[in-house]
Amino acid sequence: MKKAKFPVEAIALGIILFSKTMQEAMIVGILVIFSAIFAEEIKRILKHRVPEWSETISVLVLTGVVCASILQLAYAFLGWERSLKLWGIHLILGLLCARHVLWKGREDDDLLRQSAAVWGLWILCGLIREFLSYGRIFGKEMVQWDIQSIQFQNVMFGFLASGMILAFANSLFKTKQYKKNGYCLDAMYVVIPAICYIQPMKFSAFREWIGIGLAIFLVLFFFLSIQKKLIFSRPAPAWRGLPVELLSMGFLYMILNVY
Amino acid sequence: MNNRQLQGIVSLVIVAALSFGIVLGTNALTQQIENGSNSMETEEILETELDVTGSQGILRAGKTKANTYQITSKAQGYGGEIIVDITFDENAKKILNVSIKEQNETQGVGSKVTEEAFLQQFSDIAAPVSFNGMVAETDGDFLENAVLIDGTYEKSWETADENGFTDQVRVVIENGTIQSVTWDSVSEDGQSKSKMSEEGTYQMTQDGLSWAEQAKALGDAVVEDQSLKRITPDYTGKIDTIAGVSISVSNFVSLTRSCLAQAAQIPEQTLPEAKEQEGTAIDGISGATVSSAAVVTAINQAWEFLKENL
Repeated sequence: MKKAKFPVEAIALGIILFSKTMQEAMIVGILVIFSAIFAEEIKRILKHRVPEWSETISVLVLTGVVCASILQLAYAFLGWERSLKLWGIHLILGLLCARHVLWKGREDDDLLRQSAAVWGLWILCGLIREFLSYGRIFGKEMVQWDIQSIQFQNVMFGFLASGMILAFANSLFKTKQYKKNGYCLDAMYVVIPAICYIQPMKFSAFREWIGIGLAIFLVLFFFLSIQKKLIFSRPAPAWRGLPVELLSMGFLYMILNVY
Repeated sequence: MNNRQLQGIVSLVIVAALSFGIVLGTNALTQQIENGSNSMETEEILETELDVTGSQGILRAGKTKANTYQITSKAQGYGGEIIVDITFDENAKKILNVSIKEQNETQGVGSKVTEEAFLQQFSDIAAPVSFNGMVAETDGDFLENAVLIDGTYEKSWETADENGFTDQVRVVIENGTIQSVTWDSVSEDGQSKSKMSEEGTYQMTQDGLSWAEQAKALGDAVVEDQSLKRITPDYTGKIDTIAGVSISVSNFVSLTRSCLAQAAQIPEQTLPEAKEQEGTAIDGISGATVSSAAVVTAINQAWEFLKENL
């Protein structure tokens, strides 16, 4: 099995946080892909022209900033709510794209083809979540069913969807996201920003920042303990590593949402 | 420039163009969908749209093709804003129809404002709207030549409000004059609203007088005037004649009136009738006074808007 050619962590984080509607999935997805290709081109332009450390910093900073800027511009144009926290996540998406290009991808990689395929799955995920939440597709009212629930907008379904899409992509492209011992540190690049952006519970007994910090610490603690156990499980190759860890994060959010 | 470099630049340009296209296209598509779903509503006011800038509580207003006026008005309910659609006749004096567009009231209590039983009261009635039993004009003059008998007179409201508080008024008469008028509201478990507001456990707003202070101001006004002449609530039950008093005073007026009638030994049924109110009196929802009042406020806001702008 080969490594994935698309920016896995960036797309995973994008699916977790930005697949609530079909429109959101479409726009954030294409802009993340643009950022990844932009990072590739910047790396190619700077290669052999500047020292390696300069090339690394330039690609990271440029891609992060360009990704954050174009996403913020798109949000402003569409009249969607923006915040500093959201800008931070957009910046992290850009940094993850740059990270993939700098350390995970290869120069002759066909990033576009695999990214486009995963983007299609991302859009499908947005469509399904929007339909199950509101009975709408792309904002157009379709049907009202009893099974529809606003809970499908919850981030826990983002985690579940992200894990399933990555597993499907792995089986499609014959790729993997795990190391030989089955442990996947890459999950931290996805899980930590997601937990910092949105927590499954709040501790109202303390000051806001203490409550948020405590919630983040608790979720991470639970996640790490689950991750240790997962080493001993034997899921199918396509599911090993990041996909199953994202699935377990989704279930963790589901349980902690009770509070 | 080798093939790989060219391929990279072409990919970047294609994806950039695609991104632009998707952002612009989805925006146009969703706007089209929103306009389409709103077309049913906008058709009603396509004829003429009125300017609502600066009008408190009015979200949209206009004249329909059927020569009726359609106003969307909002007022603060118990759980948030209640948005109401009101249809007036061509003279803007009669309410033809009222529907609740949006509300976040307590399920089973305030949410009853959406029920047909409450809304059908507004069908084909004269505006403005008030509640049955609400005193809109002063009738304190009934005490002018009356002799008040010394004693303490107490009256309580028949039902508790939606928060479980029952209004009570005590009037003390000494030497034929009103010495004190005390208004309190007591819950089923004996908690007094005035005591709670003094302790800070019942707080209405950050600024302004507390409930206890407002109740005291009302009582002091009656003692000063030796009548209720300064306390003349409007259709919402509020007054603007005593500084700092913003709570509904209808119950206070009714109970004080009863106490004074008892002190003057005048049977209540012989008291002069309150002056006839303009508009129509309707029944509020028992236990959902705030929600009912919000709907009435929204309707009357719309009526006043039309009165001022036509």
